[in-house]
Amino acid sequence: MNETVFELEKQLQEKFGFPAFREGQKEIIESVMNGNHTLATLPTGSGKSICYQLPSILLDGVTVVVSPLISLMIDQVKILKSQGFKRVAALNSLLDKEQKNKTLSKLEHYDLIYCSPEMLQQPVVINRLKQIKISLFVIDEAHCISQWGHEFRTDYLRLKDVIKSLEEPTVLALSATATPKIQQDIIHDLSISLNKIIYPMDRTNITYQVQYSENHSEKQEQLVNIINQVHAPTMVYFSSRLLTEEVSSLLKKKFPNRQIAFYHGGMEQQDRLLIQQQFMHGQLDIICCTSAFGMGVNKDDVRLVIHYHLPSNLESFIQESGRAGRDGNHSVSVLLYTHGDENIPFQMIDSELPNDIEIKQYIDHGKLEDEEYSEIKLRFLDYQLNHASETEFNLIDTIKQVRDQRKKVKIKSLMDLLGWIKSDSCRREGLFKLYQPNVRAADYDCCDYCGFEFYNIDLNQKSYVVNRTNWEGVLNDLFNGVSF
Amino acid sequence: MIQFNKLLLYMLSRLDKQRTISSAFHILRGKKSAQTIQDIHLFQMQHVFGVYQNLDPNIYHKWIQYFKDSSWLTIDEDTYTLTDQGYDVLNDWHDFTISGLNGFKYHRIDRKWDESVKLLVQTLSNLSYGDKYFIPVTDDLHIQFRVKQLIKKYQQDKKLLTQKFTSELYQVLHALSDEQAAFISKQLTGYNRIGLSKVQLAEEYDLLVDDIHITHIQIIHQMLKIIESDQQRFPILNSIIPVQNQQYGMTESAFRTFQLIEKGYTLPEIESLRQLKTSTIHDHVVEIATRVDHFDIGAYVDQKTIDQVGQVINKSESRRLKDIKLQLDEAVTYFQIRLVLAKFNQIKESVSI
Ligand SMILES: Nc1ncnc2c1ncn2[C@@H]1O[C@H](COP(=O)(O)OP(=O)(O)OP(=O)(O)O)[C@@H](O)[C@H]1O
Ligand SMILES: [Mg+2]
Ligand SMILES: [Zn+2]
Repeated sequence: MNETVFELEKQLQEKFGFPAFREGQKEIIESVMNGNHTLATLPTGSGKSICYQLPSILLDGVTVVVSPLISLMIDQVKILKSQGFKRVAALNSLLDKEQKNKTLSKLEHYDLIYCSPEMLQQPVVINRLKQIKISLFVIDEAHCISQWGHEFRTDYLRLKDVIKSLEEPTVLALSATATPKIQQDIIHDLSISLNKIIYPMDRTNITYQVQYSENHSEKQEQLVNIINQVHAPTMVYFSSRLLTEEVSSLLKKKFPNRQIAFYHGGMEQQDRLLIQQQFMHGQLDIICCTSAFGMGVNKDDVRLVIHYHLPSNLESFIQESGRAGRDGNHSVSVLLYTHGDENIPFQMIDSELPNDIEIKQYIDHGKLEDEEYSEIKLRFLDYQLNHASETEFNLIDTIKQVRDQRKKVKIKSLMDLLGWIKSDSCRREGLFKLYQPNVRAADYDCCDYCGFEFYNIDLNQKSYVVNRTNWEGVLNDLFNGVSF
Repeated sequence: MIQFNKLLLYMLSRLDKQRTISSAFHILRGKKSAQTIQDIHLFQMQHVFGVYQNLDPNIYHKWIQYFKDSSWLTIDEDTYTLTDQGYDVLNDWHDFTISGLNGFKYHRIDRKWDESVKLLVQTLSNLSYGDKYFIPVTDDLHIQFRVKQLIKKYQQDKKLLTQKFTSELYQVLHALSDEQAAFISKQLTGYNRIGLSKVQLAEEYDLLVDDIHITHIQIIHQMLKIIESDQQRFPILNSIIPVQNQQYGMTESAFRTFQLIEKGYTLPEIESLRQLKTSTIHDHVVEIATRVDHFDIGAYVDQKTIDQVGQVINKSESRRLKDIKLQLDEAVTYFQIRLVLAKFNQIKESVSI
């Protein structure tokens, strides 16, 4: 045993350059390496990926990772490749036929294959997977399987059959937001017995703060005040694309010496990549973004995450504020709330789901008018249509019912979030009490309720300014002084 | 720096009273329809063809609205008219020039070449600092592949490659104005320094993103011209020019017909030029319609016929031309049915992936 432990640590150092495991990682890795089906929870940003990435290299055979968000999957593959891991691939609906066939034909040559759940419904994919040795089957964000995982539940429910048809490889289900009830759901819905390795999901290095304001100009003032006091890598989340741009330009005027940019899903791909990389490389102080940002952002030293608008529920809030402090150092999460802010997410629930006219339009013409949320609506409609065979008779009515059902669930989770904002008790307790029996004490300050105030915090940490003044100098810097 | 509003008003002035308000849009986007291709030759606008291929129609319409609100033009039934005021504004911009733009020649390769250069800069920059690992600035797998191949060729002496490449890059930038060279250099990504995005450039120069885009394309065209005219001096920069036209997987002969259509020739003209039978040329056009996504069949079938054929196709299981033809107006030809079918299949294929 000691020997393998030593082995694992050595491998971690060798393959990933980390000197030691973080809490829980080794236990989870050992469990799956010993062939036990495992359900594991660890907090956001704590390094769940290592729990399958390392085994994927050590085990012979292929590790399949089911991951719900395509953009996240693509980013992870990109990051792994950029670190020199060649034997990784992603299977998702964005691949064209040629790319997909190429990946499928080389399947056994990979260590790690990320796969979107709907891909696993395709017979070609399943049949190929059956032909190769699958040593580990990972379900990331496993809470998606419970009914509160809304978006992806139906796809996730089918994983049970996929696992069976692959002759039950070792299964690892991972989550940072699985309450005991959701843990039960996962075990029940996968109908295999899982070794539970449940670590607390609270983030002890994050200080939580909710700030109320009377109106929007006061909220803006609060934002400016906070930014003024904290000079460190900061993310500000918005729910509107337009506002990321507006507030970003406002902040630029107020803080001419800071590097500030905005990021949202409506930007050109090339621009998105550059802004994301600037942030990762410490060349931006502040990024004003929508939730499209941050999925694959593995920046360890984000010190401050501000929610300018409400996220859609507590789970998203935990995930998004969890971008802070992945390095374990002190970080702060602030949610700015003005009475009436909930109107936006309530409207969003409506605008992200197709209305009656759009459902009909889609059924008749197979497409929707292009607008900000059409992608999300399309995903919903595509899904419903693809799975229609079971519910065929009155397609439109069935889709309407599913939509209304989903709306209810979403409204309920939003109400929970509002309850938390308005509650008069410890924020940390309120956020995590559903997830674990005892919420741990904070490593630094706890929350506004427990007496945290902004002015007494020091997170100073500045961005690095790239010199772009004359083009010859730029070339010189780029190529390390190579003569030309 | 080219300002987009000037470019657009200039284009509109050339098509004044002759074409619809969207003609300029199609030219900017580089639409491969017989109409657009004929237009650019007729009105001598080859240089602006395809210089803004991802121009958003909403943005375009906002500009047109702005021109209308400024009383620079009026929209008529099926064309538009530039007002005296519009012409005055245009004349006031005497410093405005679009020299350097060469869209018809470069629209297929400009952006890919630019991306290749950027990826090569990023790779060699990281290598010169001893860093092999970074996230590439382009997701385009073909570009990544070609750059990797180039670097493999110099496996033994990457330093030599870096030296040669930097020297080429230096020379081509040197041949531009300092302002232009700076504009390009600000976008470059390398070891521990990430380039500026278009939005950031727009902020820096206090211009609009549209202006930045056109200015960028113009500089790229100038760079391409410089390196193409002296292949000896710029071997590496030339070697990463994307190979043109994999011919969309068409036969040689169909591809030649396609090239002539793109140059604005009509089918009868091509027929006599190439000394081929009508039916052969028709076969070619059907092949082109099948292979080339953006090929517009509108010049050969009117919209009403397209819709009619579409309905019949949708209704009937049969794809036999004869069955389909029987259900249509007698005037509809087999050629037209085949064209609609070609497009129809294309759409189906792209949906089922
Ligand atoms: N043993 C370790 N030592 C140091 N850093 C580590 C270790 N394990 C993981 N990390 C780092 O922690 C960060 C978070 O990792 P990862 O993305 O796997 O988190 P996660 O738990 O999946 O988060 P999320 O819940 O947001 O998906 C990464 O930057 C990773 O490199
Ligand atoms: Mg994760
Ligand atoms: Zn507290």
